[in-house]
Amino acid sequence: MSVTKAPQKAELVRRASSLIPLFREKALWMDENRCMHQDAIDALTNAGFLKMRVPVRYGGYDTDMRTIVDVISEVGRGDGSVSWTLAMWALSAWMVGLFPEAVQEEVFSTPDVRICGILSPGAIAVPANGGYLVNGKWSFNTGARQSMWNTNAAVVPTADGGHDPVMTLIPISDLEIIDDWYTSGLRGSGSVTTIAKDVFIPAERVLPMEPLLQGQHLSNLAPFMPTACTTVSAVALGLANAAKDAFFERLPGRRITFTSYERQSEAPVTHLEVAEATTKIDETGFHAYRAADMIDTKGASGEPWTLEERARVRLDLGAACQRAKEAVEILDSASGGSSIYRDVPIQRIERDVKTLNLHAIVHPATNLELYGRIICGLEPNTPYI
Amino acid sequence: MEAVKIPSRSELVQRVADIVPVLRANAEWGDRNRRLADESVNAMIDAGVLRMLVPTQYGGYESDMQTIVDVGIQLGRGDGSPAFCATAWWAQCWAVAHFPDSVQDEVFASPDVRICGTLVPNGKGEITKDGAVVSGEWGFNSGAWHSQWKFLSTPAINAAGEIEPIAAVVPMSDLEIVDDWDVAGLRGTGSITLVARDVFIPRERFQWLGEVARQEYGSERNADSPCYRGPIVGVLSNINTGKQVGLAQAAREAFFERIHHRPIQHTSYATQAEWPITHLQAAEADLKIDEAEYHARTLAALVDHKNYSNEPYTMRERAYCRVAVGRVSQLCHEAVNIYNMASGAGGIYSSMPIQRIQRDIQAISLHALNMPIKNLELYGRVLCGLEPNTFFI
Repeated sequence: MSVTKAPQKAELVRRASSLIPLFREKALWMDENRCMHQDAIDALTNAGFLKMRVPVRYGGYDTDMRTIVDVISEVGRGDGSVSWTLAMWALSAWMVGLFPEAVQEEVFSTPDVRICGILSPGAIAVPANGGYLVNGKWSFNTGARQSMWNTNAAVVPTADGGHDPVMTLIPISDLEIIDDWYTSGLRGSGSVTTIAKDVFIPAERVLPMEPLLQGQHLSNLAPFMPTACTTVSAVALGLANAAKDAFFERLPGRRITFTSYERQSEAPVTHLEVAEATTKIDETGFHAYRAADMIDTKGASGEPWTLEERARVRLDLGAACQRAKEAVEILDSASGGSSIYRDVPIQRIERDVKTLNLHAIVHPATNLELYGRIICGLEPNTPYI
Repeated sequence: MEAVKIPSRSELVQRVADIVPVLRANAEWGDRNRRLADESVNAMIDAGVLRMLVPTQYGGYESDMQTIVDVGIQLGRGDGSPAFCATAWWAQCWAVAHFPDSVQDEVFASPDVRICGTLVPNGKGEITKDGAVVSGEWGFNSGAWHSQWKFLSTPAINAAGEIEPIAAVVPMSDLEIVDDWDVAGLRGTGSITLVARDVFIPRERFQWLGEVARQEYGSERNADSPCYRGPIVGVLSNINTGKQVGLAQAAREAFFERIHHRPIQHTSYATQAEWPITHLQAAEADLKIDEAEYHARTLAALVDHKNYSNEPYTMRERAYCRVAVGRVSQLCHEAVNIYNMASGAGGIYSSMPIQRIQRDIQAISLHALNMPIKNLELYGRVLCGLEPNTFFI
């Protein structure tokens, strides 16, 4: 077993900040080629970011949530697709940490292993010979072509005609890949469809979903949904900061066409827009870090999570993404007709943040409704909490 | 002078939380009678609220800004009008703490002294050899009915022959009252107009506003106190935030008290609580309140840090002071609007807190220091690299 000396938190964040120019440079290529650029993958690997969610005993860093939010959001200032893909890889690596030791040993024996993952049950797993035979397909499989393993959700038929949801772990080489990733946003994430045709999975690589969602797994990690939600909220923060950077970079030379303003920076309307967007970005950070601090604090104290606390992390995710989207939309609409060219970052950032907000777990309306139900005294209407 | 024990932050906040029912019980009376109920003022005095920005040498607490936010929230939970008056009284105590010590000896003879007033210059002042003679009228004197002094500002001619406002403290007995406080919101504040006719102000009881802006203060004894450091924009912005968060929280409390009993008329929903629209409203308002408190806390942390470290503010930080309070107003107003619209026609009776909270938060959002759009514009100017377009920064 190798013992890794984990870099200091500040060092990880510094590395992320230093990679922003590289991700920005490759952003257009990734947007056009609908997958991550190899240089970006190498950069994430060399910076150690693929180790953040790997347990220390397998050479990983077991990084705290706040630092992970710092890193993923800094990466997002560079490019949204890289940030989103890193979030998925980090989360799926964390997920592998819930499987039995033998499975973890196998997966993590590859240093900087890349594991993609999907939470929607898209397949049926039928018990067979000490394992399961799986058939089905999963869309939105971020980074699948550049990953070695895939965590997927499936259902196991029960005797009474029902279904038990499970989480499976499958080598990418066992799956067929359909490149259907022709989308309006997060194009560089290459979130293609994977297909399983009679794929056999040994029993130890199948976990029942319910205890996993409840946080009743073997390990003493944080519960899954709060971890997932916080990880993703960092992408929103990164995109919002990217929009601010992009806006201020263009502001100095810009005029407002067909008005008497010589400079956009002198127009009071611009001042309102900039202030509104900036306060909303601050609020995005508030939500992301409140969720992260909750996870880190609970992790340190071992205190159990209440239902309302779990719901509040989903609210924080929804609110972070909503505020980020509002901020990006303000800055995008303040960027004028010249900003719609493909090589101007703001239009891509706007497509990315809109796409992020449409994700089923992220969607603000869904998260607000769920939190609202809980504080009104109702039961949750989803197990994903 | 009696030795005063300064209560701890948690002790003080608890005391103020304990008077919330008193403030609530008197809210409707204040609304109808257009002034604070004596019982509300006395409850705030007894809890120590009015001493928070009085110098410790006079029995005050010189509270830090996070405590001010805590107490503001509790007062706002109680009732908007006494919460608003407390803010106004805090502001004037803080201002007078920069006057020459001999003036403070007189004004702070009681640590529970109430000084009403605003910063807006009006009327005119004529400088004489031993003071100034001032005439004019000043509106919006919150809590004037319960005050002993008024803080006022008026333009005068300075030594260089230019027009410059002075800031003065004047006994209420020197002023005439015009009861014009018939308004839509914050009715209980009794923010009447005060009139001066050739009132003589001794020299030590006024300061030139230019000196104040340059932080050239008259007090020697308070010069080293962290509480009285820094530009006025930091403290004045900060004392305005808590009560707004508290008002929004009061709206939330009122909302949750009713949703389990209220049906949604002309629909199939038996209670408001089971209506999915309610869930969206509850969550949206909740997150706005949390975001408002986030800005209040961020601002308090900034001002406390500056006060204790004595580090200078950057222009961006000064502008943040303004935008923070503006955004607090905006978010709290939006949150209260959501609760108000979710309260149905039953919410409009004068006995229902939500309609008063709605009127109060609207009035607060229209106040010159809180008005969101004005503060946002200023912050945006500074972020875009322009000079501020106000001296109040």
